[in-house]
Amino acid sequence: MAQADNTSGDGATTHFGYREVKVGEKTGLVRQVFDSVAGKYDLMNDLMSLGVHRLWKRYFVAISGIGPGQRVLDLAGGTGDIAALVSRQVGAGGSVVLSDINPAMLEVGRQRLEDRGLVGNIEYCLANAEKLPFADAEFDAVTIAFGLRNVTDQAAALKEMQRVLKPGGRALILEFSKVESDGLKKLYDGYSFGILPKLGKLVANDEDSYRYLAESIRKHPGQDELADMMIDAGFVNVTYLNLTGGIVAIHRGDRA
Amino acid sequence: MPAEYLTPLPGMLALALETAVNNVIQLDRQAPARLRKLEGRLLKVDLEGLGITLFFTFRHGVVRVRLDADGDPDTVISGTPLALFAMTEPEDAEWGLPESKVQINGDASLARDLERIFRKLEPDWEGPLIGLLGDTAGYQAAEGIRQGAKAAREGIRNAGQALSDFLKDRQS
Repeated sequence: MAQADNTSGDGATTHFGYREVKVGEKTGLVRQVFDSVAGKYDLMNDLMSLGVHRLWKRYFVAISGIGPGQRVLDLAGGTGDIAALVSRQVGAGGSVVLSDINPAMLEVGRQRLEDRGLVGNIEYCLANAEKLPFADAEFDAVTIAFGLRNVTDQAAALKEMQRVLKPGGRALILEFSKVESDGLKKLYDGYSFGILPKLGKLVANDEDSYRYLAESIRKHPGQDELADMMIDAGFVNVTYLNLTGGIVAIHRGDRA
Repeated sequence: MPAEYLTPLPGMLALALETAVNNVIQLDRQAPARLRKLEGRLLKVDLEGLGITLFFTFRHGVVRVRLDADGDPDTVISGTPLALFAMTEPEDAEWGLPESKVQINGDASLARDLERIFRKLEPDWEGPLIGLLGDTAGYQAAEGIRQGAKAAREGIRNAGQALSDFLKDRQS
């Protein structure tokens, strides 16, 4: 599935939340959002999800199959939640590369992890998920949590994830997805568009960035659509698991 | 035409069943791949006594449970919830036999394939629970789930047998 809604040449557009923007502009706009929220990103995540995002992330890593001695790439790793959990699972014999396209988020992540004493098996890399600066078949696993929906060309990112995996390696994606229960959907929409931006204004003084975050969730592919995109990118054994009624989903696929 | 229910309970049952089934499936590394063999198939389950019909579809190694579906089902299974649950017990599974209290119409191979998949399920409870709760608590929780599941099966089987005996006594 192409991320651009209008794919013809220089006029190609894509979605930035509910706005249509030129493809070439999206990366910069997303960067501005995360430059703005980086300092209070963790606090906002806790407020927005009432702390549930920590459970989602712990479950994501717990069922990942990542084990001691493995080399793992964490994309859009931002403030380091996933890297911290993975670093314990791979142990001293393994390694985690925490990468992000945004220098401000990466710096916050580095500070947080170093303050917690998590050094030794974590490396840091400024990287664009659409064009990864790593060799083919370098990693046992690639993770991306709440980052794929901000990537402009998701198909390219999925292909890159597949490329840098060793044969038999696994890609794991944790992302907001489609809620199918009507009752839950009404509650969720009311919270996302009514309360969340106001929280953003109150706590981070940035209503627009949090409105973008809510809108970007609605524009992200649903469960089956993302699974099909992974298959198109060359992954095998693609499957997914809904958490919290489909508010988030964990997708996984293997490199053959 | 989809059935119309007066309460949201059937929808909640479908969602709860879908969530529970897929959580167990995803804990067994082989199960999603086995489920892929069922892609494109449609199973209808009539829950006798409850008046609820559920439709099961299979895609990307995931079971979807809905109150309606497009197209005609490949297989229709009818039975009471107890009788259907008994099908998950290897020693009690008497598929398609008159004594099984479960009726199967249409393509019986879909029902058999599903039964084999669920019989072979070996969910790894420990890994995720240890990741969430730590080594000691996680192992104890996993052991609790294993024992609890065994006790629940035993309880349900005994309840089903007691009900069956009661009904036979009333008829004689």
